[in-house]
Amino acid sequence: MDRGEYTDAVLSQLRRVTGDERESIRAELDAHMEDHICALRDLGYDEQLAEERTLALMGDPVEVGKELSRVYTGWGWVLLSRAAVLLTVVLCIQALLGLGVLSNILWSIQARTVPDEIHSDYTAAATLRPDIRIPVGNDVLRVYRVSVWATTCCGCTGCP
Amino acid sequence: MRKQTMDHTHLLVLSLLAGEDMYGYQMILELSRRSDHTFEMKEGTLYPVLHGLERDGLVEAYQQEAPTGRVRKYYHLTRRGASFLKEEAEAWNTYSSAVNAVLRSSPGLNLA
Repeated sequence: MDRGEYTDAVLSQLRRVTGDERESIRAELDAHMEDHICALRDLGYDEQLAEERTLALMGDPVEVGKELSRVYTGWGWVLLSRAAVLLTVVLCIQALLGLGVLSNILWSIQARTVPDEIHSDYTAAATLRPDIRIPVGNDVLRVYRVSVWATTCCGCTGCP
Repeated sequence: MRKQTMDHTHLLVLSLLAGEDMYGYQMILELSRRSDHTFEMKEGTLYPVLHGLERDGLVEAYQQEAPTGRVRKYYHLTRRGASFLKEEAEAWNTYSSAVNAVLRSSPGLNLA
């Protein structure tokens, strides 16, 4: 076992830690072993023997990990960070697919950049592209496409 | 018996930090030196103790760069930790005095 494997074995026992906590523990254990190895090197040990001796004195990594896991018992921040990641992924997917609360984002970007490429479920009988721009307060109303199509009555009570 | 040992470790670590801020490896060396090598714990087991003390607000940690350029995590005894140490040290003195008194009165042990 080398230093990296020792630290991996300790961290494998930790379930309820955030990514930052995991890396902080790794860095602290690495620094401790580095200090001990350097001290042994100063006494004349070669690198491999110094590492072996250091690892032997660190103790069983699984037991160290289990003791650490008794300290990190809170699910709070872990759940919050995982929920934030999941929410971000869901919102990004919704925005890209034009679904849910962010469904208008994709359409809004397309309307400003490539309005003629916006998909329509209907086949137009005629289309006119006037590109009319009318200032309305601080905004600009832009009419970039006018289409007409024919539909058949579906028999619903809402039709005139 | 195991719980008693862990409690003593907490007390020893807090005692070390009462004098100055230290990082983990430094504590291992100091503990061994001051106890004349009586206390030589498995070094990895120090960190659950330190992190537990930090969680309980008895110590706080900060990063500091050593002259060699290596960044170390130092631990500092908080005011609450100092108060807790004082109480636990007094409790330990009471406990150890009682144990010694019983041992001294035990026939055949020849303790001074």
